[in-house]
Amino acid sequence: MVTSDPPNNMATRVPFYRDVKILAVIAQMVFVLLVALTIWILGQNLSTNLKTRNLSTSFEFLRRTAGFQIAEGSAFGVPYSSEDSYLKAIAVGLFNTLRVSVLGIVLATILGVVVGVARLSSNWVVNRIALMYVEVFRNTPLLVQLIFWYYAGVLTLPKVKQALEFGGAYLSNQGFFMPWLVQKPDSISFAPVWMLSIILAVATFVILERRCVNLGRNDPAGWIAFGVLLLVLLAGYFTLGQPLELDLPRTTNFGIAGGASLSPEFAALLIGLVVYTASFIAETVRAGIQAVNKGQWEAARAIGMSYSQTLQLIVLPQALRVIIPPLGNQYLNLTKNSSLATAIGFPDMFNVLNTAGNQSGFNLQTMLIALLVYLVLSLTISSFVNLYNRATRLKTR
Amino acid sequence: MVKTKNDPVRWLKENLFSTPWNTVLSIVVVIVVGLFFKNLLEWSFTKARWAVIPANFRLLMVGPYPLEQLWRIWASLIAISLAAGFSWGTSTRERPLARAPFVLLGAIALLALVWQFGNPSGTLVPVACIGLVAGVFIGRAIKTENRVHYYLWTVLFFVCVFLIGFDFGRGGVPSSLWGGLLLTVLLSVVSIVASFPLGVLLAIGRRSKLPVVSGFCIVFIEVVRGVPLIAVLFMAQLFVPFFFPPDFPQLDKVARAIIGMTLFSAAYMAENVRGGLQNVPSGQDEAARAIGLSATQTLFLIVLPQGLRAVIPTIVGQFISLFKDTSLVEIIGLTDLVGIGEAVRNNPDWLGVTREIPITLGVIYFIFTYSMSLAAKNLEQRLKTSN
Repeated sequence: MVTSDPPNNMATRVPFYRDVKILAVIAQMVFVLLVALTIWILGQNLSTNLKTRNLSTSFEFLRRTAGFQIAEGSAFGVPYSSEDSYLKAIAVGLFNTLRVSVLGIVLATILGVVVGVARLSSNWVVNRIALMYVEVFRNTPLLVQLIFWYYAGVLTLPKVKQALEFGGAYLSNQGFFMPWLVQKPDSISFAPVWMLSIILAVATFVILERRCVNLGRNDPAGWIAFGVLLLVLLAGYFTLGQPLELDLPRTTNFGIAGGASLSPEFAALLIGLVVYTASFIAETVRAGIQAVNKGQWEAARAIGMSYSQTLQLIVLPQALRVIIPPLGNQYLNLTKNSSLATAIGFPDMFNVLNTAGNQSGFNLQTMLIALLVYLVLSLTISSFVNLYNRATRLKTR
Repeated sequence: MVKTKNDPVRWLKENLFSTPWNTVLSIVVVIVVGLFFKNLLEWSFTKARWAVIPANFRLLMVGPYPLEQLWRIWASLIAISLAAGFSWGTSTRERPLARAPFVLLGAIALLALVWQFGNPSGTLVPVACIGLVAGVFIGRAIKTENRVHYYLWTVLFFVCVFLIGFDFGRGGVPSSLWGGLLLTVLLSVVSIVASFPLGVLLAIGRRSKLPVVSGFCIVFIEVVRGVPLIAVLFMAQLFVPFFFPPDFPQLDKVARAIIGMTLFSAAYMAENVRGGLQNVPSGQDEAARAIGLSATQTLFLIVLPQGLRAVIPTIVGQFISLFKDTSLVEIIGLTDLVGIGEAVRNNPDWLGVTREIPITLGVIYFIFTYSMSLAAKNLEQRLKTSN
């Protein structure tokens, strides 16, 4: 809207009913009134309905005993039982949502990048297979895929007694079991060591990369950082007196015990989310790489860079700028889609909230909590994406 | 000797065995994929009980829709093929771009008729074909504008919904009896159509210079986009009745699902439309104001037509994801395609039949979404060249 004030002579003052500023204020007041009126009418209906149905709007119920079991997960490390409060049950759900989302995001990114690069492969078989993968999984509903993975996939695996074994790992219809490093009883905690090792490795990588760029050298920064990681881990392991041991899953009379395990529901949900989201990520990656000008490839090769150097130092940094925003969107979608867990009975946050609402009758409150938590998750992911965008924005002179 | 370009040996060498690494990769991939398809084929020809699909075909298509009322669906499908023929007949002329989706709808209607589930007479396919051909001839004979097609299909949309549910004195078909593919298509079409005006309004509101209006629109759009559809659907099921006066007749589950999906879809529509509006050069706006159009006229006559035209492919894309997302109504207990599939899977007569149904459902969804995404790609290409 263009403010087209006529030339302001003394004689022709704009009358108030044609003054754009006053009109804007009036328009907004009308809008606010309309919205307020609608909300008031709806609110009136809501409150009479709540009164006639004897529903409360307080959140006090969160402290009451939940009284239902949750098949897996804990309240961020604190075990949960049916005697605990609703609040703790919801925390377990949130923990499960975060668990599957974080793992899903990592795996979907890896699979998506592989498929996306495969889409651009000069090898005909590879790029056709990648295309087929993308089209099949992008064009069918996630819910159908989840039902397939759960009822026709994981649940049709052999029983525990005949579980498929792959070098110490077991696949059965009661879940996946694999060997895992665990803390020995009565030993010094290893957690600070692996945290330290990651921090040191990342720091080494960042410093070396910066040095390479400044000095125009090409040191294998990634390998050196990896070496640092291993070194710190090993040094820590031996100085703390070997506090870890390998826990192998073994078959018992009641099933499989020991090691790390994924429940059938978790496994099906994870596979479904990863396979579905990776097909979208693959397209994003392909588009991003194709968006980099062909001249960039040719110029890099012309000054003597190898194929992998070109990809790493020239093409990917430019492609990432295109890839990251839609990638962030896919992460968001994956997190939101994890709520489909309800369909296959995995106790994610939405499922737990729904159960809690149905059981206590406080559906209104539980749905509001669901709204709020998903909003917070979405905003967190999108603000990370925005931060990245700001950091890597094209700097023009 | 110069070899021809189509020489298969050379093609293989260039595309599969150009380097040692590529050779290894090709062989490994071919073996793995070959094993996968061998097992799949072996299973589907020996172990699979595909009989579950024909036995439940009518359920998958229309759900619990009463048999004696099926004529309503046939009538709608014939009307759609007639109109599709009409659009097809005119689309060979100038400006064909807006009609591709209509023709596609007709093709799907014909396909459904060819299967003619639950129709004993078998006379409908020729009738629909005659309708289609007649439509083509009418379309060729009459000079039309694009606008005519929009009106025609809008009217047809209401006619079909009316036909499917309305009481003609012999008892209507309440929406609780709609199911299967019929419900899936109805849910997605009604929601996308209803969300279009709402989405455009939200997009305009978000661009508004009035902070209260734009703030309201931003909050609505961002809240809805930040929440999973399943939460919106549950909320619609639980809370929509609360917002109506106590003596108001209860809305049924389908209507509540449509409300939820429409609100959800409108937020995404608003963002797509906003993208289109932003791409209209500001010179257009200024030029329109300069020749004396009012702000409203500028918006509706200059900016919106150009902006909306550019986002047609995106809207088709949104329709595709909405079409897939309708499957979530299964979780709130509706008998859409997935809901029927789950009911059949839980049917004791078909114990142990687990893979056949999801695979079939996947194929049905794939036919719809893939053909729509091809149409969207085609549209995008034509839009690019026509600009």
